[in-house]
Amino acid sequence: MRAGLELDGVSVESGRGGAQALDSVSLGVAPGEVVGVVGPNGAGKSTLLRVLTRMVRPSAGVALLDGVPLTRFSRLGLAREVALVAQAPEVPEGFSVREVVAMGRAPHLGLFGTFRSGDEEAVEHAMAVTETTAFAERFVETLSGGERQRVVFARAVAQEPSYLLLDEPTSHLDLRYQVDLLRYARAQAAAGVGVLLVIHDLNLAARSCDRLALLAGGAVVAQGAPGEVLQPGTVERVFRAKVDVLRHGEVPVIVPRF
Amino acid sequence: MTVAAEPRRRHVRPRLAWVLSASVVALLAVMIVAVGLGSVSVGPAEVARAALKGLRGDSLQALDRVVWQLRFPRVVLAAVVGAALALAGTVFQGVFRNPLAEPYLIGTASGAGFGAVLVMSLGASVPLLARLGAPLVAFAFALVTVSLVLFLARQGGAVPTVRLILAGVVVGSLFTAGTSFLLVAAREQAAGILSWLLGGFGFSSWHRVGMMALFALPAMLLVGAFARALDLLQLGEEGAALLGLNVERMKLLLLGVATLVTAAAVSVAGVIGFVGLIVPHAARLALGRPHARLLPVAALWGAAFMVLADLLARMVIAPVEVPVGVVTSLVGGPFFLWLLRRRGGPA
Repeated sequence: MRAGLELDGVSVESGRGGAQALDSVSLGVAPGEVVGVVGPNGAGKSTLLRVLTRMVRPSAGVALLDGVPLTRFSRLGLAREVALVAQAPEVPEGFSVREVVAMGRAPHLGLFGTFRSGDEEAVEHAMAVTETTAFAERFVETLSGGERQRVVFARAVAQEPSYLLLDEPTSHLDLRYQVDLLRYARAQAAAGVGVLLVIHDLNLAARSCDRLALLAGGAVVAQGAPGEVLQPGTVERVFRAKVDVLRHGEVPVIVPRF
Repeated sequence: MTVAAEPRRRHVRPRLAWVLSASVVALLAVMIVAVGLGSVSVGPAEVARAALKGLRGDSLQALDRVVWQLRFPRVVLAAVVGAALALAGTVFQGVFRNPLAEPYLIGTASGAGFGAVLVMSLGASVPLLARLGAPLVAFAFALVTVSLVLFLARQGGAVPTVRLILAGVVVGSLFTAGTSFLLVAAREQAAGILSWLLGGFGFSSWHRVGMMALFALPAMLLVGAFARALDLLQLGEEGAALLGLNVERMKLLLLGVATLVTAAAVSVAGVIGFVGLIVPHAARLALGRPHARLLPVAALWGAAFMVLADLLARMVIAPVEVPVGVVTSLVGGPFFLWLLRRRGGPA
């Protein structure tokens, strides 16, 4: 048995006449690492997350959680292991920040949802590490977009998953919130959580991920350390844009050329 | 810990304990007043005396008998039905995540109405119907209608919300058309049937209170136990599933319980509109969304609102009774519009 959340040769039909949303994709995330999935629009990044949360069934291949097929898990069992921060998460009005974060405890509660002291601690901890404690009692609809994204992240932390999936967590955020969010994600990985994030911004991806997987047309084009994956030739071919790749220490920096 | 300056009002909620105790006191006060008022008015002390005697099973004198055997069951039934409809409305609005959802949305009322009208218009020529009585037949038809709606809305293993509402509206209007047909055909009984359809507590008895409570109390406990699941559903079906909720099963359970209790309410008191729509709405505006807070308060307010509405219904043009559904709509409609204007849109 191997620890990790992974896809093994997974294909998904797109439903649009023959083309495949995912084409024999094999990639995974191990506990403690941050893996970034990058690629142009329509590359299959979101489909990949939907397979990993079992919202879509692969037409071929298998998704494994620590070596066990996802299909063997109940919804509840899966929710204890895998949390997702969706791209545009629904944040219903009329709940306080603390109440939204507390929803993350749902998979760990009994049938009638009684909170124990351990649950309270998990909620407090999740708010502390995402710096949301200061507005714990405010209604979520009164928060800014960046604050709201943190609250949704806090809910996923409160879920205490083994694997944390993030779908473009930094889009619509300004630099400060982007950096904060990726910092929280790295902190989760440091605490032993496997973090997989779908991300558009190549520079942020290169800076914050241990490994990158570059997706195009539903297939993995390159996989490995950011410096290996983000080669000028590969990036230009996949994104159809002219770029220079500079170096900031180990980290590649993509600069578009006009 | 300091909380940053808050630009919008109503961030900090009223304390639940305070709201709950105030609501209980208000409900009891309204009930005592409602028992006391009528063609012969009695004060709170006499109401209490009659209640004590009634509960002890002492022999009752004329006035005590009116109070204990007529007014008390009527007021209690109104309270239980009001609480049940408000609870069912809260569940429907929660499951459908739509403030315009109400307990009759998936055909309960039209089915029950058809059943009752069937008994009233054909009871004379079909003795079996008459023997079963309007409440029981209404209840049965409510369940048949909802089962039909669920069956039609099913797609694979799931019941998608949009299909459910569509099926509910279509099946509902079929039964409503049937009701209208019977109503026109019934001619001389039409006025009586219509007044049943609009709801009322004129036929209350302790027996009916018991029947209603049999459904309402377990329903309240069950729904209350799943308050957290209702909260999770506010994240959308996928969001709730990602937190481990078996969405389809929970949806069916909650809607099933809400429908049963609605059918019971319709069968003892007719189709009383608006309570299941505006009471949950008002409670949500006052208390926010978490259902552990929302459900008990909505039930208490529903009870108080219905007792008041029934009091108005029998007092405004006494001795003639206005159907209570007319009162709830007349009071509830403007109130709803006021909420809408004040907030700039339903929450």
